[in-house]
Amino acid sequence: MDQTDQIELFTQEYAGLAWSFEVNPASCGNHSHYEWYIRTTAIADHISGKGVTYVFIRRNQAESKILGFITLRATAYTKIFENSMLGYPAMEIFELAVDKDYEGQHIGSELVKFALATAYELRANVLGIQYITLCADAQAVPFYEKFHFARVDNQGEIPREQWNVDCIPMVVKLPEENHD
Amino acid sequence: MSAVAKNYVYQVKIDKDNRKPEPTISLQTLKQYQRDVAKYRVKK
Repeated sequence: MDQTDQIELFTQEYAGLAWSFEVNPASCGNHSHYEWYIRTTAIADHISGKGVTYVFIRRNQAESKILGFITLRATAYTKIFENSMLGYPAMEIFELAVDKDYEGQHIGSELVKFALATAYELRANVLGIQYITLCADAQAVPFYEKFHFARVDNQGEIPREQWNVDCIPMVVKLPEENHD
Repeated sequence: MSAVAKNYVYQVKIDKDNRKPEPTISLQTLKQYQRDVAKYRVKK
């Protein structure tokens, strides 16, 4: 049976598929947040400019299924100094979740790689990006460390919202590169 | 010196003063990730 996996922009065309997307409550501290985000908020955030969501979608002859999603947005990584706070250009992994039936199949890994590759491509000629940031659930910290993210030290901070104020801020810096 | 220039000089100075190892991903790894995910991208 023909089967294809693709990472695509999440649009209204796929909105119906979002209703069968479910997150394992044991895998994350806030599973319902992610389910409701993809079902009700992702497209509105795209319209308002707050975030762009991509879905990892599997298609075969019988059906299409969203296996995971990631939302990216511009942000600032701030460093706190004695008498000032400075912002550095960054891209944030704002949301990332994998369907409960597809855990352990590297879907999340492929989405993180997609985010890092996208940042690398954008900064070549579109947008200045020095850091990638995210705010992780405690149990997801080891997962992100595999992709070279580290906990933000006490001199750094990333914007957070009320729902994830207890998450763990993480950051990785992109290397310098001559684009001549 | 303008306020903007002073601020820039200040930022460069404190960046230098506070330079310490930061978690960094290598170019080689980024390029590998780019190749890894190329198969998922929709051909246009």
